[in-house]
Amino acid sequence: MTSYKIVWHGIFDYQYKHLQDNSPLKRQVDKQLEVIVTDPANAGAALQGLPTDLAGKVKKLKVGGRKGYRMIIKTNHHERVVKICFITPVKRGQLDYKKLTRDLNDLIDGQVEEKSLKMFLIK
Amino acid sequence: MGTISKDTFKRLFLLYTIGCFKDGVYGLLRLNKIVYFGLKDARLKPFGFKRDRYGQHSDDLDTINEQLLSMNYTKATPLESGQGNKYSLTDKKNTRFHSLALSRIDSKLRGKIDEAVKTYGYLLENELIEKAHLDAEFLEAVKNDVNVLFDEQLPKRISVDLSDDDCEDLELALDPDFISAMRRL
Repeated sequence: MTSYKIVWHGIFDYQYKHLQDNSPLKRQVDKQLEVIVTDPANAGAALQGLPTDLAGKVKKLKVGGRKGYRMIIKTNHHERVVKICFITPVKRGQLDYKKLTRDLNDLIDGQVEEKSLKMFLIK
Repeated sequence: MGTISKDTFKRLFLLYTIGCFKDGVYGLLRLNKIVYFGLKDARLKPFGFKRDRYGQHSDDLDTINEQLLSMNYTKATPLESGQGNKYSLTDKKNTRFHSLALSRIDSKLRGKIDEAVKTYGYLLENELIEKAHLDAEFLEAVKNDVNVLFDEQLPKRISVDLSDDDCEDLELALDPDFISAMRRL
């Protein structure tokens, strides 16, 4: 079995710490984390239509069913790293992609204040 | 049945249009004219057009074109004339997905763009400009000294006959902020 390093981005780390213990959502997130750890190279469904340099690397896992949340990960096969990036903070259907991706762009680079991370609290 | 935002639809539409040019688009002026011809009788109009010194022009189209370049879906290479760029797809492997998505939004619109590229896409520039300046709606606008040829006509969300999952992929894959964030990770 190929070993991959699993890395949690600060956004996901913050989200995970704020999940309610024993809640159905936390159980589902834990289940998907188990999937990632078990088969890191193949975990998640690749997003379609990405530019060549990202094709097959950015993937999503469903949390809370078809209409629930999405856990976004980035897999780097060359460096054997899976980075767990974030969970969409609201359920699909209520999701404002424009706001999400702007917030994400502001936060992705590194250390950020908790005040900013609150935008990613799962509702 | 899913939906996508207006901005995603605009990026999808322009990406599809550029992909219709077998040898790339020779200049931004040409791209503007071809999209104008493709949209003038269309039900959904992702771009509004106004009349300026170069004829039919859309500022919004120029902006979306820059976003496609920044996301690396398209590339710009200098034209031999030294004036302007040739725009072409960086990679054609997404063409099928984009083509399918556009036809599931409005197959007639896709047909109109195909036709406009086929008819006007590779005319000599002076011929293209002449055709554009002889366009009935354009002449009418000149006569009445009206600057707006037509406005953008889109609902708030655009329905797509694809799964929610596919629409979500389109929404994320065609978002410059998401692409930029994922590259930096």
